[in-house]
Amino acid sequence: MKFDVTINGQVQQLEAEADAILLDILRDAGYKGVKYGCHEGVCGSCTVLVDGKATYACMTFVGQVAGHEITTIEGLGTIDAPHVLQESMVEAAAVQCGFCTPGMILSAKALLDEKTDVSRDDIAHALDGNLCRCTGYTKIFDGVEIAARKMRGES
Amino acid sequence: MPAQEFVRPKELEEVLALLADPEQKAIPVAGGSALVRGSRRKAEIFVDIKDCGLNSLRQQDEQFVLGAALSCSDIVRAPLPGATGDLLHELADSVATQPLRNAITLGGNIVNMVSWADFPVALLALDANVSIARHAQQNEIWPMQRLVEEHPLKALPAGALLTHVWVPQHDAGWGANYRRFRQSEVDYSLASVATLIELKNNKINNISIAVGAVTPRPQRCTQAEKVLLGHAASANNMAQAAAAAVDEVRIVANMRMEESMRRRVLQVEIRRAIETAVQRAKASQA
Repeated sequence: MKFDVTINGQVQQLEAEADAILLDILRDAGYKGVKYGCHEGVCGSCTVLVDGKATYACMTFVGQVAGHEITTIEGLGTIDAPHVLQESMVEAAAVQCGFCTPGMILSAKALLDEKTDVSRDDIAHALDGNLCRCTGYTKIFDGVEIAARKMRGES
Repeated sequence: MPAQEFVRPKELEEVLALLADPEQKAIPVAGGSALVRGSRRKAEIFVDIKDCGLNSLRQQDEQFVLGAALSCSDIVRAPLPGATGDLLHELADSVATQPLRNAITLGGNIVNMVSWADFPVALLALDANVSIARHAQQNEIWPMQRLVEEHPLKALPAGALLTHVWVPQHDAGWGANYRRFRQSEVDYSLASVATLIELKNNKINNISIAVGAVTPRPQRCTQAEKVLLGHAASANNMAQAAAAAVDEVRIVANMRMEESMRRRVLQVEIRRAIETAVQRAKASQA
């Protein structure tokens, strides 16, 4: 089957079986920033945004996103012009192995696109679907707070 | 045979027609999370029900009518005032993790009714009803109790689709609480409790207590309700009600928690749920 999906602002036609899983198809299409972690809806390393909402690509059929907008980490910024969240994660030293980072950033983006006046609890709640084995989360949450302040124009 | 087609009809009737045809071997897809990991992927046609009008919310006859395709996140944001809203908001915001709250739907959570499912517990306490639709047939209204007595996947006729949930509104004088015990913020429920209480002249005029996750399917605690009905709430009788509830439910143990621990946890959570519901009922009268 062919599915028309907008990925990072570009309309693409994905060819896949009717029961294909979004994670597999995105990675086959070259979006390697969408990580294959648990493939069962626990770790969050495959998190993408579908119409701005954090979504586990491993728990989504490709058919469910036909006609919708997907954002992967590749669509967020570049080396030369990183997204404020990407900058802030570096500033907070929130990256060790980096495997969870794309998912963390996208979940944070979903939160901050909705509101930037966020508490630590808000951040923890929005990122509760993204596991990290390295950092202990503190610096990741610091990074989100830094990004939120920047987005509020406070620093 | 792997699935051949993935369709997303814009009209409910088209969905029902697809589900009704035994030759098509069609299966509804809402959030998809249960289906992605389950064995029912043997269907030949996946019918996505998210675009056929089942993600609506309206008020009718002093009830909220919630579409089965509403996600937990949709419900968190939904304008649901009063005790009913407290219960549903609390529940919806505590389910699983954020990406799954964006996917898990009201209808899917009810129909799949795994032992740790949260919505069936609250809807049992709320005395909710559900609309069942079938192609070329009159819609039926079933009480939540009926779906709980016989698992929905067995009770629902072939081709049937749960389309809406009808939940009574409760305003001043009513308080509710949903509580889950689990080992981490994102764990499955190991015990869950939904309580709804009405206070009139400082006495409990209506009460419902439902538990889940410790029982094979959600269960009302009618003996516990009788302990409190007609009385003013006190620390003593709320504790007695919690003890009575634990005695009347059939608790099942699994590798995650033995039975005696489940009883202790459940008793504490029931008492806390009653206390919170009473406090909220009093606050709603202020």
